Amino acid sequence: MNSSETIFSETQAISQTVANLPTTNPFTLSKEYFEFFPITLLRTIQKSELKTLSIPENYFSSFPSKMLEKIKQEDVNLELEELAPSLVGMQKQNPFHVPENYFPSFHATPKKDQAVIHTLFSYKKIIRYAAAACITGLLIITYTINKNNSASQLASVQTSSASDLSLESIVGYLDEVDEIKDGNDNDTPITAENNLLVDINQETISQVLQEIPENDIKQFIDQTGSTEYKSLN
Amino acid sequence: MTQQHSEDEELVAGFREPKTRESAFTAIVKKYQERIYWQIRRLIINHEDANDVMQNVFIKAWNGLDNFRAESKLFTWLYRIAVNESLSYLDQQKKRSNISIEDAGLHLEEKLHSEKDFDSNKAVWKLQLAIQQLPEKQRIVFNLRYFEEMGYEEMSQILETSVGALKASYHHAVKKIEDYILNH
Repeated sequence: MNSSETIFSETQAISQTVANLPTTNPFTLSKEYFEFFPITLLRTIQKSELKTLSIPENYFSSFPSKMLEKIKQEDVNLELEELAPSLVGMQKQNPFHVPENYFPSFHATPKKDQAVIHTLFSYKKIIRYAAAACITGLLIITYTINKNNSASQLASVQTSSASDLSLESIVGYLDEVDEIKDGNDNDTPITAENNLLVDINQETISQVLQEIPENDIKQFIDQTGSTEYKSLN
Repeated sequence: MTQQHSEDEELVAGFREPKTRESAFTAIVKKYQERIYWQIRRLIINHEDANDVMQNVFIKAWNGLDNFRAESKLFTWLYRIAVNESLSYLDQQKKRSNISIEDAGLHLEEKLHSEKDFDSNKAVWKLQLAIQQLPEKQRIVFNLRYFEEMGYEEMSQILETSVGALKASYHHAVKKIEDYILNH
């Protein structure tokens, strides 16, 4: 179908000149080239594969952290050797067990804690304070009103009585007050003679007692139980 | 064609076995190296450069054969790698030497002049000079059709272009070559 003849006739149809041109290869090439090419190619591939030797994924990115971990581990071991050599040989195995598929199925779902709302003004508190303030206010108002009333009443009484009284009566009252004061100011000692309205002395008492019959006195003593008895006669 | 296809499948299967990996690969290289090489050489011109590209092509084949699906022929797959590697190499050369697209043909012409048996009076070299004036895609299409005698269907698989576009490319390429030959 795509034989030389077909192509020749196709080219001839387009250009007779080109169709008649030689199809021979003018380029030169050593005879051994194709003989050795597969071998040299395989060597090149092998060399390139050596260069691109496979390394684990993320090897270089994780290398520094892994090295640091190893260094730290060595430090820990050295310290342990000094402190407790018997513990060095012990395997650091975890004795605890975790339920199967715990970590793959673990979902850290944060609890939707409702935020504690701190209100600046509590109505309950305000109501209490307001009630207390009202009561206090009422008491103060009542007290002040009463005080004002009594004061005004006294003032009105004083003013009314003062206006009703004459100057002479006021002066007389003041003199009386002065006299009472003067009387109180006397420092005379209060004696039985001064104080008693009846002047009773020893003789009077003896006379009174002599007038009381002897039997009455004895009866009095018997009733009261008094042992002291002296005949007045 | 079917026999060749099953043979390729066996080679690929052998490559996937660690024990027969290298032997199977060597067999694949030996089978297709010449055709691949000349396709590269006609585009790159210089042998050393072509050899570099050859090695890149087969190293890529080594790395990709494990994932190769038998949807296309092994040869078609290798050819596609070769074409892509050649074009990449030429692009790199242009960038390295600061060559514009217009001067790319001249650069390849210079390379032809440095070839061992180059003789501009000889028709074979004149044809090569004419080919170097073509745009990259037309150059590839012309080489595959004129020298490799490749069918358009297979070519469309390699270049991922429709058969009609390839036919048109070949037509334009032949016309341009004719024009060059007649005027030089």
